[in-house]
Amino acid sequence: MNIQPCIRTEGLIYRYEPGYPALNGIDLEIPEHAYLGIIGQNGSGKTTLVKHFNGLLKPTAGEVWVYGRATSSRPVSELARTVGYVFQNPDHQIFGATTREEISFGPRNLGLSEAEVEERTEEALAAFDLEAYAELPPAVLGFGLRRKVSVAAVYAMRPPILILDEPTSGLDWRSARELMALVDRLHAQGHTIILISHDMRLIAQHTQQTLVLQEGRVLLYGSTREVFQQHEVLQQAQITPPQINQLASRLADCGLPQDVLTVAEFCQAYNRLKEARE
Amino acid sequence: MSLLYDLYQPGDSWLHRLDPRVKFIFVLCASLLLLLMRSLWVMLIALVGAQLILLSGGISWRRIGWVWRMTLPTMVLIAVLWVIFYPGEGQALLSWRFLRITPYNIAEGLAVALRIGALAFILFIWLFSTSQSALIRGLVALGLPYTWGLTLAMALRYLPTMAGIFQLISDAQRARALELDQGNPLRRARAHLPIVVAMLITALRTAQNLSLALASRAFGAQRKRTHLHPLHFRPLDGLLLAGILLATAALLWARLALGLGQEPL
Repeated sequence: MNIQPCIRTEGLIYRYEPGYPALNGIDLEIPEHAYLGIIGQNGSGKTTLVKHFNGLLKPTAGEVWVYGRATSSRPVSELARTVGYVFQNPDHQIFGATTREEISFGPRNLGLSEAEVEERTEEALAAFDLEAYAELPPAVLGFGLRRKVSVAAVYAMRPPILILDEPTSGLDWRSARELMALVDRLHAQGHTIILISHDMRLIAQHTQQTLVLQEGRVLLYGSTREVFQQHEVLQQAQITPPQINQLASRLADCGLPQDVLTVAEFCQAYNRLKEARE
Repeated sequence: MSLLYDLYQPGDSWLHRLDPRVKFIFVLCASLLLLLMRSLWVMLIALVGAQLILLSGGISWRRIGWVWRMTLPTMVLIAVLWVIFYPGEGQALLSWRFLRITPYNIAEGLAVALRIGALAFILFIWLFSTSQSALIRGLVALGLPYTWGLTLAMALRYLPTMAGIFQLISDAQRARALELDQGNPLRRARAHLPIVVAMLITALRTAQNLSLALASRAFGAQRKRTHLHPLHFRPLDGLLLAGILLATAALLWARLALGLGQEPL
């Protein structure tokens, strides 16, 4: 089956100021319904790249297309219908007097009817398990809940593409796991998910494709499984694959596959190996 | 990033070596004179002079350009509104209903606008060439309580940071389809409300975290503070200070007794 790209970039260059470009010739196709992880060192261009997808930044040179339409001439408010962007820090978007008001802000900006705004808000509150906090000011909630509110507020706009910038930073293990379960569910529902993270275990566990950026260029792009096998190339970008992947690689002589991404996969492979030997 | 995140530009120019107290007194004297005078030519000389001081002090064009970008929109707005709402004296160049444009009110509007620019640049002479610690030491040496000095220095230090956060918050709200440049001025002003409220929440949270961080690093434990690098008032600093005070006194006398710079033209 030929899957059409929902986002395509060609020769994308971006400079914040005259001088060295933050993005230096990015050619990329992101298929629809992808679950893409973007990794790279600080300053490698991850956030700069995704800000082009919803039009917050316009290319200095080259072009970006979202569903076949160039972003350069489209306002952010129009692109926001298609591309939802959850910022790294929830406090950069929270302003509502109540969580309900905060979540309804985006749908209301889309010009929907009051009934539709209400329906989407209630659905988002339920999907993210935020009903108990609906009438509380989101600014006083704990960080994990504020993060949830910020994702729910973008989810309520129902964009087919959802970008999450470091969604689990500052969250404890349980909150991170809950949030990522919700993101997985959104992907299963058909959303295209783009995830920026420095947590390699998270990327390995959840994403299907991975893009590695280094100094504004694409270093690697492919399935997450393939990318995390390129240990030497990853080293160029100072990236270390998840420990379980490294362990499997070192035990390759014993017959373990080198493309293991999670502990569960490692255990399965080990059990298969044990059964085969018995 | 397009914004400056630290106002101070490290360097070793004559401006950097100047005692921070002298620079602060210069800012006060120059500001007083600019507020007392109304002449377009005085404002122009002050603005050009401030640029020359910054350049000779090794301050980069990037920083100077940043101040221009910050002040120019306000300067243009003031010049235009002044001409519209303050009918001038003398022969009118254009007269229509309440609008009466004369060379006098054009010059007056330009002088007020240039005064804003000159005041900003004079303040930035001090801020661009003085590190935060030197700035506090200077103010404390002039008699300001240390906590007040630190508060002021931190407020100034956080100006560019807050400008960066403002940009981030604007982007976050625009990403939720908020249109900032649509409709009449009232609607545009109201559209900024989500940004202003989020900004206030972030500012309060930052202030709280900062106060806790200061307290946890034993701020206020010692009533009398010592300094690692005490200020040294050199003979050259004394000479420049005397020059600044003499020039200010002379210009004040000329303004009050002779009416120098009293009229826009």
